[in-house]
Amino acid sequence: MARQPQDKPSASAEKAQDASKMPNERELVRELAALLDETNLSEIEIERAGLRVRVARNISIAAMPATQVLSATAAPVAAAASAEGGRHAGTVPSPMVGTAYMAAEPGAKPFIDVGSKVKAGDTLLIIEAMKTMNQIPSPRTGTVTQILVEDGQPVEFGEPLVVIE
Amino acid sequence: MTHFSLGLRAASQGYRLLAFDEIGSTNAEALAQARTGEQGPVWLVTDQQSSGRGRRNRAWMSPTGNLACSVLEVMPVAPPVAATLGFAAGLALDAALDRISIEARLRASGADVVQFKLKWPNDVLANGRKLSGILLEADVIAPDRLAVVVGIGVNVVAAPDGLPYPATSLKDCGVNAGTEDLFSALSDAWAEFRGIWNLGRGFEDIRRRWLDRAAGLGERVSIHTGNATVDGMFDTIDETGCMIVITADNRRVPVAAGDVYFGTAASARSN
Repeated sequence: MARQPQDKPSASAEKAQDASKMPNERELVRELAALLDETNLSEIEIERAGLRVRVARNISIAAMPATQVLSATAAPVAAAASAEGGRHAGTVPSPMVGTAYMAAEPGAKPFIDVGSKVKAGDTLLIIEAMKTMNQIPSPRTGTVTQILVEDGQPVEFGEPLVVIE
Repeated sequence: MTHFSLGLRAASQGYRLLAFDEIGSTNAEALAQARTGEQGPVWLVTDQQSSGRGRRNRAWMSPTGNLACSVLEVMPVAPPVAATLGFAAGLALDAALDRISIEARLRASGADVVQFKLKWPNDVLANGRKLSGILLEADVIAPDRLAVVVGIGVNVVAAPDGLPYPATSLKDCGVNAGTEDLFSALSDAWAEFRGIWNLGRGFEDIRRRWLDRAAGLGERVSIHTGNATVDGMFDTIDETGCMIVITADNRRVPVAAGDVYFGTAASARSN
């Protein structure tokens, strides 16, 4: 699945079999890592002549320390987004893996539309994981200029959800 | 009016209790209190809940005699960590139900033995039927403070009809127990499992205990999540609490949210 991860591309390669038959494996990994960047994919895996190489970015939350404090993910969202370059400073990233809901229940009026005025702390959407409904607050006062996810869509950690300007 | 009281362990750990005759939703009230400065930990329990809600705002029926309660904890954890607290909640409810059903059996010798199991992520099943619902709601109330409300509903005397899955009540299972005893046992079990969970540091322990009590491991499962469906075999839960499903083409798919159907229900739903 093509995702738009927000982290730095820390390429990790795992070789399923002995790669010594392939003298230029480092080159191959480098090329794949570059391709990963270029295409903005989260993972590429190729297999040929007994060699399997997988290059992936770490976009999973699995490696996140269990006790990571909230401030590391939720409060400074705007700052984190602008520091990554290219992305709008008002982008609100997902604090977790889950399913995005744009309304409190199916068929109900969505929390926001493009053009909605929001105040800091207003609920933009809900992300569900493990039957925990997380209200995602607006990090700032402004206008919703983009909604980047659909109702019922699975989202990854760090995936852009909404842009507030 | 029912006289609810906290268990000794809960009281000694600083939990407080707010008991209501009637309320719209204990979860909604707890969240509202958190937004106006309530720091918890506090339990809210009611005789009657008029607009209880489940996942995606589905109505949760809670007539008098059933248990409807919520616990509010305000914690310095990130949302993905808070999401794993639901497994501790399932375990706490399972332990409390075990305790009161054993006590009921001792009072009425020869009463039925009930088998409780946990259905991912945190339902408690009694003899394979849905007995309870747990819904967590989290809201950021300050930069390093997440308000987490764990809402717990248990069919003590009555289970609703006409649901898309089989439901039951403690009474249907032959367990005659009151909401006071169940609530008190639950508040103590919660204090215990909340301690083991330890702001997520103890999730590996919780995960192991949960897998020991899990329904449907190794069985066919179908999960309907938002606008997608995942079919396969329920293998385990991972270190973030996601359900790991092995699909027909042998992929390991982590699932973070959805409606879970096992066995024949999985076949029916995926056809």
